[in-house]
Amino acid sequence: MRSVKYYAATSWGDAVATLAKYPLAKPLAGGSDLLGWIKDDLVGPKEPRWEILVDLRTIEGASGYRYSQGDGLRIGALTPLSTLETAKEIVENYPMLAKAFAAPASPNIRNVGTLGGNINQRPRCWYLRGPEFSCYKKGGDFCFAVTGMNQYHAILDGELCYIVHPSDTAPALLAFDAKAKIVGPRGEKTVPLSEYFIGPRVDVTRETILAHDELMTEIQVPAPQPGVKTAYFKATNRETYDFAIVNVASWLKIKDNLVEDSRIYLSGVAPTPYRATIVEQTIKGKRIDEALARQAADQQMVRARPMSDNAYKVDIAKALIRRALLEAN
Amino acid sequence: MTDAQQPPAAEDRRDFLKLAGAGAVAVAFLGAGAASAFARPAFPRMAVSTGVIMPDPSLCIGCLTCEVACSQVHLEAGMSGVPRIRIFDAKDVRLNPEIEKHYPGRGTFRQLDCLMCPDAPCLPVCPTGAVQVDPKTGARIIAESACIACGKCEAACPFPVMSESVATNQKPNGQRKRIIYDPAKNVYTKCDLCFWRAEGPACVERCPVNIRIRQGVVQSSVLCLDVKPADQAGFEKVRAIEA
Ligand SMILES: Cc1cc2nc3c(=O)[nH]c(=O)nc-3n(C[C@H](O)[C@H](O)[C@H](O)COP(=O)(O)OP(=O)(O)OC[C@H]3O[C@@H](n4cnc5c(N)ncnc54)[C@H](O)[C@@H]3O)c2cc1C
Ligand code: SF4
Ligand code: SF4
Ligand code: SF4
Repeated sequence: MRSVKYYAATSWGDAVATLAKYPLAKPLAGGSDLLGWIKDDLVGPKEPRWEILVDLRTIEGASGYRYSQGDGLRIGALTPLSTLETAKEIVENYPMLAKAFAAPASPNIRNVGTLGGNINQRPRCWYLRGPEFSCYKKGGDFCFAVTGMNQYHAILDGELCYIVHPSDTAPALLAFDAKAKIVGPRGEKTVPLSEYFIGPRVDVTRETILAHDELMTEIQVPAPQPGVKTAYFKATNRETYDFAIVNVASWLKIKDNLVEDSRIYLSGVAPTPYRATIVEQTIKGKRIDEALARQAADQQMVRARPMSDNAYKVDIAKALIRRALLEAN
Repeated sequence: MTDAQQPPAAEDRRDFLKLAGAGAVAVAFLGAGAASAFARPAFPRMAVSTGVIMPDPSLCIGCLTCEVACSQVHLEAGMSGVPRIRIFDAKDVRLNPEIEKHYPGRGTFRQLDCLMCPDAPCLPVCPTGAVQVDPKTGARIIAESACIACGKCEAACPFPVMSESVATNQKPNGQRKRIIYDPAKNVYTKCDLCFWRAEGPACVERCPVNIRIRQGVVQSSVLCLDVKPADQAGFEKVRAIEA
């Protein structure tokens, strides 16, 4: 691997200032994604060769979590996933989140991989990860997946670029209506995670609203509500150590056996975590049973636009949606 | 280039109107010449566009590259980012066997864009002269700076698009005709053949099926999206394809 400069940030302000000053600086968390990216030398017309890594782990207070019944859960972006998947307050109050935090990769990777890194990781498209392919996402002028091999690419919302969002934690956090705290040169702001991810139509070269010199500092999850049932399912090729073919996270508020409100998100199917709004509309005010779960999943997937090699994902998505709905029953 | 493709030379113009806010771009009229299906006696015939986007639905895989590329190049040029070309799911389209062979299971689609009418009804109705003929390409274009978003051009356009419920991109924008309203900029917008680009229309350049056809990977004598002369014959041909 080529050599890069290392800078240990002392505060969020210091990290932001360093990024603002150096266009070729890149934030580093656990490095489990970024270092592989650099090692593979993935560069293109709009993907520079990063020269400085700004380590965020050295920022005091950037790691750790806090839970209170009134405020809910606040997680520092630099907290390792392995800390979160076993945290007592999370396992007890947000069991679905604990499941999602334990879902990515392997224990070793979750020991170094942080929550912020998981949410902000770059997609896994095999053309993107191949240095020889100058595709749209690197600023090139072709998507190799559209006319190439695409068994792991998008079945929903693909346009120009057909990546799938790789994060296992994002759909779970979205189902809980979490927010992201962002710091940048103009100060701090908090945005709903539902406004955090952007698709290729907005800007194909990035996956989030973050500018070069903005950082995610914290994830805020609202306090658990009574009457809420949640579920999380991830389908993979291998038992472990594998990205999702599809995953689904559901949050259903049930009153008198009827669905009062719901948020259902899928990952691994679209360029951003995908909200299954048709499922939500279909089950609203109803009692969930086998037939309704099937109807909702089928209606949602009418929207699917599979590519040459990935129609199988449509059936898997339907099955996981059904399971998530029935689990809440 | 045929005569019909040639932009009108200045001395050919019987009339030359400088319209409010038109800036460097003005409307060129060629005088009432040959009759056309859309002959409008009230207006002399305008210069035909050198080009119209000629789609072949049988080759389209619905990838939406054209839509996004259209948005991108217009945004980069400081214009509205609404895609001027729009893809619709179309069950009635029969696929070219080459597409079935190379890209199976992608569905069937129609690409709908402005037909660059020889006598464009959208043009004379504009009260500010924002709908113009680009002197270089002859494309019917909307100068955003002059558009007051009255919607008369949209109303005058005789060509509806398919229902947005079957639009392939699931981001409805209320499009009804080949002229589209952009609430972000409060202007109407339409295909302008990317008149300022040396490479020509971005959709034609970037369509991956076109790229594979040019590379000889997909065998086809026609492109998925092409630029063809927008004379009466070209106009009738697009209408026939869309019918
Ligand atoms: C073999 C393997 C298998 C994997 N399988 C899965 C899987 O199944 N599911 C899954 O979800 N993930 C999977 N991952 C991804 C893994 O979870 C991520 O690599 C990890 O979570 C990233 O965290 P990190 O702290 O190491 O990030 P880094 O590698 O340090 O950073 C990742 C990216 O995010 C940016 N970044 C990091 N922190 C911030 C911040 N606070 N603000 C702004 N930008 C930031 C970095 O600049 C970089 O671009 C896998 C990774 C590997 C290597
Ligand atoms: S899907 Fe996106 S990342 Fe993959 S080749 Fe196409 S443009 Fe590149
Ligand atoms: S916008 Fe409509 S009326 Fe105007 S040239 Fe195009 S198709 Fe014809
Ligand atoms: S780029 Fe070509 S194949 Fe893709 S949707 Fe447009 S016309 Fe169809």
